[in-house]
Amino acid sequence: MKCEAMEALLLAAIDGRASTEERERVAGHLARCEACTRRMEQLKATWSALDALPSIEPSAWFDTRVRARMREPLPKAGRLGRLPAGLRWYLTAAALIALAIWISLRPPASRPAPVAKSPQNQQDFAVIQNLPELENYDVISNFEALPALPGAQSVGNSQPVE
Amino acid sequence: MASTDVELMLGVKAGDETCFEHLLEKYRTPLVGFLYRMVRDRATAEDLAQEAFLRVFRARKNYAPGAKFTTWLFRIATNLALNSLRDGRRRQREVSIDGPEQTGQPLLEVADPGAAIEEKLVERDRAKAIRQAVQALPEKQRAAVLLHKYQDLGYAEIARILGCSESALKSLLFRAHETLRTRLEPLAPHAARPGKGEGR
Repeated sequence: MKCEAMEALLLAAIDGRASTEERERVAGHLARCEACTRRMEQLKATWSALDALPSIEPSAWFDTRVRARMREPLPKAGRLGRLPAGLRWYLTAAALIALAIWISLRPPASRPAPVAKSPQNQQDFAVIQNLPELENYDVISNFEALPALPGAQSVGNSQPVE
Repeated sequence: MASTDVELMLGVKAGDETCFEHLLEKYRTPLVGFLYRMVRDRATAEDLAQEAFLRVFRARKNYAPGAKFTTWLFRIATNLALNSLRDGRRRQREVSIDGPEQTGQPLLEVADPGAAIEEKLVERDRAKAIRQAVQALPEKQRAAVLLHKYQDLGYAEIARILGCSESALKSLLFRAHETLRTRLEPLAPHAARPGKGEGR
């Protein structure tokens, strides 16, 4: 028998719940397995150590308290609590579904508009992007020597010079 | 002639409260002891034990003799203890794990009253370490170890109480004992001394 198969049997042999046949199997295995013999001794020691775990006796008024609580009326359930459990579940599920639908159908006005996608913002962004070119536009367009430069024709096509 | 638990419970169902008194008398000590070891607080343990008896009484009309009475009672008690531990309602009242014991009893009854003080201190430290090791187990493992060690219940009954299969219970118990063995290894001269006793 393999050692893994002995694990549960070792404990049963210690706690006295093992059958005669199981005890014999354990004894046969331990006779030829040193590791399981050592493990058995350790489990025995732990089992014995648990005897030191403290407990308490019920207090003198324990029975009196139980009898008093037996006489207490059952706590009244609310209107929802009086419904059958299955129906309560369905009502809760229906309420959650209704809430989910209401959230998904809310008017979009209540949501913040995305900043980067508005047309005004896109225009402003283009202006900022071309700012150095625009600042020098008048100087460049009035520069007298500009038409004499090679390739000025193409520039003139795109940006007319007065 | 002593009645069986089933007979007593059938008597409770028929409205005989003396039958319930018999069940109360028979099971209050093991139930309070089990719950105290689970939650480590006297007031909570007594409250939960009372609640378990109360639930049995309130469910008397629906009682049908099937599973053993102890399975039913300890299943209610275990669920109450696990819920109590989980919801943390008792945490404000809970003493530190190193705090003074609430039983008013010494941590460990030393057999020889004339033993040296040093030996008593060693025994006290050992008892504390064992308590801490058990307390540090996951709740379900702790319940399994306590039901297995201190209640006269078979594997099948403990498995039904914990709502698992018998093989799962055996595996759970073995893991718990391996954890305890590792944690108690520093106490080797006492705790891991081989052949000190076989419990049952």
